[in-house]
Amino acid sequence: MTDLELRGITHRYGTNVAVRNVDLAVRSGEFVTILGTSGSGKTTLLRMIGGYLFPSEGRVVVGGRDVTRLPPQQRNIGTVFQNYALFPHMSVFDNVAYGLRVRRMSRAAVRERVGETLATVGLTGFEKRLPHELSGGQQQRVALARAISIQPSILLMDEPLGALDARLRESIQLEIKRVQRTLKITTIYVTHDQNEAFAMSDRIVLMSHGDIVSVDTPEALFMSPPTPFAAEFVGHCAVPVRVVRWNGRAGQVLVPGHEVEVTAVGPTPEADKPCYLVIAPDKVRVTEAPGTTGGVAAQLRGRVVGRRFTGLNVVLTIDLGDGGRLTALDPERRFRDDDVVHVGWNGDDAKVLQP
Amino acid sequence: MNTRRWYPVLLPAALFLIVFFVWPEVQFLRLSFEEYQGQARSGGGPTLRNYTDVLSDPFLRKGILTTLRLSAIVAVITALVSYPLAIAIVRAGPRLARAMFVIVVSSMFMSGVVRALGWRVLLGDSGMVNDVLLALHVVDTPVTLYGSFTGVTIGMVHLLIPYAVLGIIPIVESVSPQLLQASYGMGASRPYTFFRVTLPITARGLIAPLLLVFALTAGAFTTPTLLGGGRVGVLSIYIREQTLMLLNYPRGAVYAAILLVLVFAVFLAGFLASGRRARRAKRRGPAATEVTP
Repeated sequence: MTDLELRGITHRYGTNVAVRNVDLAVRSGEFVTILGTSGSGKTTLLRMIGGYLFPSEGRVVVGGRDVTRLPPQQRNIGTVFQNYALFPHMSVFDNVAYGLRVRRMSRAAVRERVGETLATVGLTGFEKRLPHELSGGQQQRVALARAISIQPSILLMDEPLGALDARLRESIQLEIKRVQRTLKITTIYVTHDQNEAFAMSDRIVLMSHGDIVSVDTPEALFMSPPTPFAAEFVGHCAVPVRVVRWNGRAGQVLVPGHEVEVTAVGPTPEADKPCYLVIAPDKVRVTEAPGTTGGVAAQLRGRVVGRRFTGLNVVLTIDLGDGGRLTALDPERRFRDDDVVHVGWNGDDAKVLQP
Repeated sequence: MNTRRWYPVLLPAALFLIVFFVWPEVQFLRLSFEEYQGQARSGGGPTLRNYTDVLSDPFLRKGILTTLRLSAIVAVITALVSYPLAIAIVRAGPRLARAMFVIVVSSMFMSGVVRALGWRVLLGDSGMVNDVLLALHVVDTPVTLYGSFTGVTIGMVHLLIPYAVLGIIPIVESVSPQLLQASYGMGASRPYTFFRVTLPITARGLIAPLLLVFALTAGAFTTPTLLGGGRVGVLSIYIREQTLMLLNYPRGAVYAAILLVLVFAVFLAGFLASGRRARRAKRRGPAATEVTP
């Protein structure tokens, strides 16, 4: 069943289009993340779903009901705001009970529901605390509890982990995901962090400049990003190239500054658009000298201009000259900054994409 | 950063205050304990006679009460008018907000004398206010506004609204739009949100503007003089009478001291009231350490 449907949603601020003709259908119980940089229109879209902003064009349908022109009060949508927006003068209990009291539930019912909800987010015993007496992570969970206490038809989350430190962020990601799965609550989550999106989502809506670039599962988005922008966003490299010849689904391209033709796959490129060679970092093979590694010919010469140790791996940034840059992994930690290296890949792993 | 390093910078301000405020104030207070020895002369003492004389004089006790009553009423009315005004300015769109702000604040640039004289015309028996009331048949005969407590109250409220609005705006701004949205999102109407969120959060912050208006009213002289028509006896008028007309400096000093003590007492009460609420909030215990399940 479809819980949320956006049909041709557009939002303009004056002549500036923040969201352009967005269509999206979200299934019941699905966790959908809207991923994009700041200014991509992701928060504007979320605000229109919540009713805090009305679209210039298009319809918002929640559970089969057209709510396009309804104020937030009449939508029964729970929202976790960026800075939690907890009521500072109310205890944890009163914050979570707020929406229930608005609904004139009996005192006993309120107490029971608040108890259940706080148990769900693991905050039993914190009822009497004021928000400022809680840590960031606890405040975050109170905000989540408050949003789900009203048993909303949709849960909206606007960069809810932005204010937390990295370690805490991961544990809260799991926590949010667990609550969401337990309650089977349809969730729209907004973030600019692709790792967060990958970790939590059933599907990811990638936005750029008010447009939807792609709607896909995290795996599919990572494995086959549809555009150079999407590729770079999920951490691939996109090197500008010139197509030499193309035959159906594969062909040869030239990287500027290099004489060697390399093989790539993809649909036949259109002549009037720039081409980018897109390849996942883990598919790039790096060697010291030109040669063969794992059956792949390392043909392009480059220089290591960046080396980032992440604990599990080493991520190299390799400059190919003329603005072309590749990201590659070096799990054996063989290379240093300024090392001259040769890179190559399987012809099937490199794709030519156009914006 | 070490605040002590900044102390030398404060020296000019401190010196100025000591020479031109604290020292004259002390001299004045000392006068209140001296004996009146005829026009502009005093000496001897120290004695409490001036104080006992004043406090046992029913006429002066009435003056004290009038001052307190006027200050309190003006403070409350000004707050009641300024609070919605401040909310409107904070929540309005940028252009409308700026227009309202300019209108409110621009009246501050006009001298209190001019404004009081303006009100004198409006509040007279055949002034515009009475004309309107008569035309609407709210009253049958003109209401005495000029030369009455009500008239002075109206003039003072008008005079002090900008101060109160300026004081309340930052307090209303501290309630983020997200808090209101959170409330709306959970189904709460605008009035419900106002009474459960905006009002409780801002209530404590209103004490300071209230006290400011109270103090400014208690010390006001121009408006009560020009709109009171000699019939609204507040302490500031009596102080002037004693010091500038009767030249009884000790007596004037006593009035001033009483005014000072009264305003100070009200301030103290106000700060204690706001302080107690802050302490109550704190007493619920320190924040727990993060528990990760």
